[in-house]
Amino acid sequence: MLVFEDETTITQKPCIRKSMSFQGELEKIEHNGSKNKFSTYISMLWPDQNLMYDFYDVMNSNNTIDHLENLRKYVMKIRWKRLILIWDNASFHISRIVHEYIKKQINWLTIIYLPKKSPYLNPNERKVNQQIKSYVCANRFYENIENQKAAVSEYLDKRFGRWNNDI
Amino acid sequence: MRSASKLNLSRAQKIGLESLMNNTTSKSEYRRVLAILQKSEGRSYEDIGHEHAVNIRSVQRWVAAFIHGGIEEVKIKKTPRGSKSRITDENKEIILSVLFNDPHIFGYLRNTWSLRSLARCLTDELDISISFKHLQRIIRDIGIRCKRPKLELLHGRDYEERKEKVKNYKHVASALKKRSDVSI
Repeated sequence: MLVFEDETTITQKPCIRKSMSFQGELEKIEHNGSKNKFSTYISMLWPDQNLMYDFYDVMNSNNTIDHLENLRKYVMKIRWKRLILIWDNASFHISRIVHEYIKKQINWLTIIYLPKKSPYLNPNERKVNQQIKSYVCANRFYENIENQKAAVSEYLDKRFGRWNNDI
Repeated sequence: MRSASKLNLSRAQKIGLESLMNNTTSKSEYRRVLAILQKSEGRSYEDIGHEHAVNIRSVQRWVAAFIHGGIEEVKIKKTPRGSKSRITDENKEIILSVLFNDPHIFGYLRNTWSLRSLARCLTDELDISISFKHLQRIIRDIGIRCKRPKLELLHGRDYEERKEKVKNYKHVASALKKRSDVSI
């Protein structure tokens, strides 16, 4: 099975996108100046385009391994022979800890690294990350970061569907 | 030689014609009014027709129309062009109300409308068959523009109090500085 993986950071501060308003009037979006944010690890099954995602506070090697563990649980449960994971060269993808973890998972996991500085080769970037920013986070301030996570989760579930629903 | 008959105009008619001549933006309307005024000066149809490069019958028709119907008959009537729009004023109000409502209400997974998604929503959900381009024209005519909104910071409860405090310190800053210089 082929899976594309990518991460995105979502901030509580709203993303600004153009919207309709009367000539001479300016729409104002209020926010409380919060710098809270969370990271989403998204794996997209190709070509079905179903997602498996996890929310974390930061992007780092430990969270990457945690996400890979979730993938492993699913692969073991469904009894897929092998998972081919394609991801970019982020520092936490090529770190020593992650490398060591991947070496141990050789029986079910194959990692393919995208060429450097070529995000256009990863469909996650435009199909998921951009859509979250412009559809869920655009021009709306969520009072609570948990509400924002719920909104992102609802959007991803309705728009793409999960491939790990039964876990 | 027979002299040309003169068209008798009242003062009010003359003022009305002159004001129409000054206000009109149509070249042919201006020409008609001028022809009637020239006729009232006692000039012949042939002479007027020759000056304006039109047939004598045209001048006669203009003058006759003025005599029978007054100034309104001289004006060129504009006929509406093209087919009548299927989007009524009622539909425009619906479009406005949808535009300023949350797309989530209509089952769209987005926070802001794009014109394409709005056109799709109106066609599918509200039975107002409209294309993206038509919607774009209507929205522009109403006076709605696509703009980047402004982010505004919400202030806490003690914002005004603290702001006042900082303002006061700014006032006395020079005095405080002097005092510290002296002590040094």
